[in-house]
Amino acid sequence: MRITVNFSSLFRTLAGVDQVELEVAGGVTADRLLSLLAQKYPDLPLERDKTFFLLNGQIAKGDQMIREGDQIRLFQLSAGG
Amino acid sequence: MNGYCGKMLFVDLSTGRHEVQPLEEDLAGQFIGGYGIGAKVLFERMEPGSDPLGPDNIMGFTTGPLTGTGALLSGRYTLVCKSPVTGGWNDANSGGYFGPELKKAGFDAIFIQGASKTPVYLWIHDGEVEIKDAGAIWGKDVIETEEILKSALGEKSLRAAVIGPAGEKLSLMAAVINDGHRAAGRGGCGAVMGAKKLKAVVVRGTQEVPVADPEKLKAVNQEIVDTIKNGPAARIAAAFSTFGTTMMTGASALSGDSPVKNWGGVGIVDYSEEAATRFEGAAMDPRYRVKKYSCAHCPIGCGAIYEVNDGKWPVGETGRPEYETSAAFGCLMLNEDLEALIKCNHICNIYGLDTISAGATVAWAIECYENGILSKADTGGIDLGWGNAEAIVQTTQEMADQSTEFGKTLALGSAGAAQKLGKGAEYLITVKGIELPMHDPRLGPGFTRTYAMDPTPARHVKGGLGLQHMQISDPSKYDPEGKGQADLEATAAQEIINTAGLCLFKNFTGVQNIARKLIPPVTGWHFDAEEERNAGLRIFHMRHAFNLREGMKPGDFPLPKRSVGEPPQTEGPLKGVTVDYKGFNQNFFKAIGWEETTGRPSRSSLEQLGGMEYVIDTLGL
Repeated sequence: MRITVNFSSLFRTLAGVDQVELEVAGGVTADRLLSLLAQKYPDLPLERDKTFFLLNGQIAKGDQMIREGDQIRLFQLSAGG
Repeated sequence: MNGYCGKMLFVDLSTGRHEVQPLEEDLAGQFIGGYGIGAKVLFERMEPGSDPLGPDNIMGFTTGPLTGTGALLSGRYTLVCKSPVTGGWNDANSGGYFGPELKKAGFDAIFIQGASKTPVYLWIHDGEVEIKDAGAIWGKDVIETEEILKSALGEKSLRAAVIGPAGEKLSLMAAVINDGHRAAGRGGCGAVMGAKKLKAVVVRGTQEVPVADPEKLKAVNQEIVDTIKNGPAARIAAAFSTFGTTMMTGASALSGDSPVKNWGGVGIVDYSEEAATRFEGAAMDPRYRVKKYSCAHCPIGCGAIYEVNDGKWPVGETGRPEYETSAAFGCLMLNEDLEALIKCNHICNIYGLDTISAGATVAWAIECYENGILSKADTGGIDLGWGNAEAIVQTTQEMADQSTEFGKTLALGSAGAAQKLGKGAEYLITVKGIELPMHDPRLGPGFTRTYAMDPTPARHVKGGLGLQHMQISDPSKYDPEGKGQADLEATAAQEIINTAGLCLFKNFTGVQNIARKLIPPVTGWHFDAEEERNAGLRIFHMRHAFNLREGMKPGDFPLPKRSVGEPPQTEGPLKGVTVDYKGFNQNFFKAIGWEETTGRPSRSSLEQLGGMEYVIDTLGL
């Protein structure tokens, strides 16, 4: 299935794109998708514990299944200012 | 004494006299610098019950052992005083160049008591101290003031910590600004200066701060630079160097990190993704950035100078809005107009207002207006709806210059305004009268303990687990059980970062244990993990003791219900989240040994830390 992943903030800056389209097998989980993206974008700091995976507006669990048409957004956060 | 000038200056503005006292090595070793030494001095010299806006309040301008030594990431100085907002302990720090220049001028700290009858400023140059007439600069904005001072004193390289008209008029959100756009903002310290009729503290010096092992310091500095360039966080550090704290504004707004719609909204529902992205450095810089800005001794340089010369709100050159400002004047009030944000930031800088409290106060007023608590009769005709950029700019301007009744009311801060008006308290997002910063505990649950129980409530730059929690999505972070000790350790470590004069943004560098790396070569001290921890806890307790002596108890610091998810949000990333803030407090209290109802520490824990005899006696522990 074909899915679209949106990058926010730091990830968008480092990836140089707002979003990426990927062809993935059905039944892929959030964690698996993150691993695939880490291979595709080795320059992105996609550490699992520091990456927020927003799936249809909710924070996803690692074993949550991705379905066609899902809205996916990845980002990191830090404080300051 | 290496790392220090070895001198503290005490000025009495009521009498016009000043006195120089030695900074003893024992005191420096136990309380490090900054608000550590500041808390010790104020606890010993200020009577409890002193009026924060009266002559008995003592205001300190303090530095740390690393300040002015060339140690990297150490350009900050810290103000200390009693807060006119909370009635308790206050400290606020700022970057730029003032701190290092103060040490070059010959002093580790300046403590000012009393009040002048007429406006004055302090001129401190190479150990010389003068109290000078400020008649020509009273009423001037921060930038005008610096320019006049440079011209009048014939010294282009001076550095000044200045209040604007907001501080002169005792706004409870008044900041102290240095270098035009660097702010020691929180807790109303600008009003304390204003009450003393002290317009500015101006410093210039040529003295060297002695360093125990310059070669070792050079090596540690090189290690820091290498880590920033090539370490595990190199890509993040590079992005942070370019875009600063606006690097993640969009993600913060969409994730629930930034509060939205006065803490009652949801980013992905109430705020557009386009606006969230528009407020990021990556989007703003190409349009407005004219140069980078670095604080003293900083290899990152996370700041920038913008220039806006046309459009509705041309301001000329101005500092790039930081994250907290962008959130407070952005998603918190549903403002999507970038140039309105830049204008409001500029107003706050030149009039001398804390952008967090200022933005939060406008957001509170908007919610009151939208819900019929405030009317056009209250706002002076301003149609103060969510996201109305013109209304937001006008309100901010009136709040800064106090040219209208509405502006005078809002200048008291949201809690002060609600009290004066006798309405709107249900929409306050404050702890002990001070507005919460722009990191939501519903995403970073550890912030609940810090926002409520740090001696300076409602601060995101104080220690605890909030900064860690907001960076991880693992839901186990919401369980407070067993987290008290980690909270305590993180708190102690941050006390040393703050008091040494280091910058919180070492977090973006990937450099670990930076205080333990830098303090030994500068001071010559052995400074291991245990000493760091004990000094951090000693300092934390000293600030806490100041509040205890004022009669404050943990129950005096309730968190606003929205900030802990009571009730929880019904949509968005934080849907269903209610933070067990009582659990986080209880676990912290257990780890630190404080009595739950009174907040009193045990005598034995303070004896163990050492250096707390006066506190033990005074509090009758």
